Amino acid sequence: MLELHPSYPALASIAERYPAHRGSLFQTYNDLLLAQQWREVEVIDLGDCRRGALQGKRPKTATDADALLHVVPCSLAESISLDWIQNAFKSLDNPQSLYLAVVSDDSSIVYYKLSSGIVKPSI
Amino acid sequence: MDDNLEKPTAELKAEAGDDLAEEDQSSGDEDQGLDWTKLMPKAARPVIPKRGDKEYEPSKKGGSGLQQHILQRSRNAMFEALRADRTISNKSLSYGTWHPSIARVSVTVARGTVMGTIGHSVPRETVMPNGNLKTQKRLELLPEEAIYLIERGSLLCWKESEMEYLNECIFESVSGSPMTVQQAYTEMIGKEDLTMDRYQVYAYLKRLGYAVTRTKPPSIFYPTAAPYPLSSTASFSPLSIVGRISALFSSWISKISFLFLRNTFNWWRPLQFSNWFKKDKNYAFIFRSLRFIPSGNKVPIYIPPETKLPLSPYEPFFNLYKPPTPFRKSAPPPPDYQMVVVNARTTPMPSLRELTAIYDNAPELLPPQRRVRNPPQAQGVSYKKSATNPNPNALPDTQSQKPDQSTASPSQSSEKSSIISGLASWFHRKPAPPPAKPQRKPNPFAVLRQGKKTAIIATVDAGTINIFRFAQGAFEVDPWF
Amino acid sequence: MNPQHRIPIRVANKRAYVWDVDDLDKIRSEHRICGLLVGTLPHLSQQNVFLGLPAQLSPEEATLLVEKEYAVFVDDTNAYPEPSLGQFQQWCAEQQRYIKHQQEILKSESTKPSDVAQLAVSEAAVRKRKERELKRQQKALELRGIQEDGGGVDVESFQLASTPSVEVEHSIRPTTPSTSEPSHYNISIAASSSVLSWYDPDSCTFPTIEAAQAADIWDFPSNIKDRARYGVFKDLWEQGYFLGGGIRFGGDYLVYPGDPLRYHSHFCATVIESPTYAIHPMEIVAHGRLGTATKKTHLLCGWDDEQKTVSYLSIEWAGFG
Repeated sequence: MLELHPSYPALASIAERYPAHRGSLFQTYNDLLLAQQWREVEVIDLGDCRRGALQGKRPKTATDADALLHVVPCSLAESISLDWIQNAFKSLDNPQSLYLAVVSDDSSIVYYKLSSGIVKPSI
Repeated sequence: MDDNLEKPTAELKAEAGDDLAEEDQSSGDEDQGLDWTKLMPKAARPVIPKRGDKEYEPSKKGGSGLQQHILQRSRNAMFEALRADRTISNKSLSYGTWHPSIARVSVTVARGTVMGTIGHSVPRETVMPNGNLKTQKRLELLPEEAIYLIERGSLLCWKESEMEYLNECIFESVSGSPMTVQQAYTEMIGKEDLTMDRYQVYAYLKRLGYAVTRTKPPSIFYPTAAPYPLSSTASFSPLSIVGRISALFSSWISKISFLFLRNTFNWWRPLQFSNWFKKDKNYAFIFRSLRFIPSGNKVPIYIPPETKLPLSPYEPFFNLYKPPTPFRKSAPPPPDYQMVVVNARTTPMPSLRELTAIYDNAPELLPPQRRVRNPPQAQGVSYKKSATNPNPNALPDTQSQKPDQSTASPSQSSEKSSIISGLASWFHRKPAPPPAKPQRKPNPFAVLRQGKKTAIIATVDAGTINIFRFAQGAFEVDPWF
Repeated sequence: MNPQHRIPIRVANKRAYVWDVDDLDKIRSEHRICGLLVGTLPHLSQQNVFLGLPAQLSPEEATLLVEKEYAVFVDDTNAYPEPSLGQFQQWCAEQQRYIKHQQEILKSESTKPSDVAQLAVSEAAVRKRKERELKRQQKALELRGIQEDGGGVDVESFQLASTPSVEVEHSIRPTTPSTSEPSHYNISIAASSSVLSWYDPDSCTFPTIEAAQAADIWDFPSNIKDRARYGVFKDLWEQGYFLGGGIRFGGDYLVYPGDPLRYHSHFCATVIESPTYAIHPMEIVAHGRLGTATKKTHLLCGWDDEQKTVSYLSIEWAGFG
């Protein structure tokens, strides 16, 4: 039924390439676009992790409105590893940080910011 | 200690620490030689250093000059407190002899209230002055008891020796070579099932004021705690699969036949109201009628008879008695709690079987009581209040406020001392005195929170103690009616 | 450094302890290793806020100090030969001197009371405490009606059924006991064994981890889990951080930018045994959430046992969603 959703065409090619992860990709895409009000949200192929990832910018009101951010969706039920996360960084051209979108069965989503290396908390 | 500097409830810390420090300045009966020690040049009592607010980070490598200065001052204060001499007035000091072969310290001179809850008496063959052997009772200490007394400065311990050391000075008794605290740690830990983790938990509890004994008597002379009153529902023996099924059936059959006898049970209409009585037209009746499938923890979990279960680390090791409990060390009552001690690094989470084994030997908890509003000074975690309470029967009342207190501020329960006191509230071992007037029903959520039985587990990770409480669910009991 | 000048770490039951304050000062100030105070503080023995000697070193801390040649292991179980009669007599003489010293101070106190204040902490502090004590005792008396022993309101005041010869000491006694025939004096119980002339650590000192392991007094690191823990600990320490135990925060270590006495920790670190070790997204959520609540970043520290390297990943809540 995903196919009937108005946002599906934007995801279609990647979703069909990685059917196992299309659910979390779809939920994250819609959440970023509609609930978080992100702009210029695009799907990118994250070959090393066998799934699609998303990139976009936060709403104009955000402090870092112009930064291009990357979001990697995953399901709460899957099992990942440090290698897996390193691959995600590599596929995205080694950004300083990326966002992991953890999608649970009831389609609620939480986002955590992963930075490579030791990055101290802001005061 | 550095761990204690930062806890999830950091904001509580500063004040609590100061208060405690103040409190303790005057505690300790043996320390009443206090004015005396004040006069000693090197023997000043330690002062717990106060800590200022911590900073985010050093402003440059190693910190600015000011930061280094403040740090140096903090360190000095800390080390100064650690340098304090372990002095005691000669009139308060107890003496003992460490016998490595039997892992016991025999007490030759016992003094101080601290001895009131420590040690047990053992008949031993002793050489009398005339050279004859005679069996005599003497006070003996387990390794943990001895180390604790030595390190709090209450006991001077000699190590048993063949050498004839003469008492040519100030000591009342000389029975070997003198031991330092370090030597006691080195030689007494590792004996009689005492691990460092267990000793740390023991000392932690003793410092809080508990009376602590071993759950499993290490020898036949060690007094065993009185058993818990048997509850009617207790069926501890692990049943075979056949026994399990028959147990299931017997409860089914009794239930069903009971229902049939009333000639009212219909599988399709379990609810049958009487036409004459009004009293069955309430929720309690409806819920009870609908509950015809057995539930709860009365049916023991299945353990295949041939399985060899590995020795579990989850066995209660210490029995605890709260300070106001009337405690006789020769005939200890049922303990207020039992505590398991495990090594946090090497022990996996307890399995359902391990937890069940603890529950099976634990008493069923009485339902938590409704909050009683007391004047403010009676609230809070105060042993002193209860300790000075002349009537031990009043105990359940003074406790009843505690569950709510810990519910109200869950953040506090991560504070070490209040874990214990929080736990304390969940135990109402002794049957409450028969209520004078009908009691109100307990709050159903408090019942669920408390559970039916409980297991307390202390985990120790390289010196850091965390204490957890597990509870057996009480979802099938009747708080809802 | 010459092994003779290294700090002795006393090992018993495969745990590592530091028993001398100067050694503790040195490993903290010079080597950024804190240990954990686990003993009962003399005179303040009914509290758990500030504990005393010994300091217990975690296996990682002790191993690091020995590997870096700052410290040596002493097999403390074999360091106690029996004192000779002469050594014992000498020890007794020292105790005697200590008491004599006390008596001298008492004498000087009775003649020149003003000096006492300088010897003791400070007059004002003493007075303040005495007042406080008095007040407390009065209150206790009121509460109890009858004072059972001279002990004041101690948390230890159990309702004792079988109290052995309790020494009744009057706490409100005159501050200057009679000096002519002093029957009251203090006895001091030493914490560290280094004060004993017969204590002999030299014959059982091990300058390397391997030697200590061979002698079966030490067993860390013994498996991949230990190696990963130690690898991460050492790597963070070498970057200049102070480290503490992280179990209260659901991690393996707390990572401090400076001495924990003065600075908050920035990170709670979890050791991951290998780059392919399974991580469940729920762990990331749990660590990240706890970190947010405690103003710490969570560090996942991946150990690569083949390369002997550590890779780090910092986790924070995203701030949205």
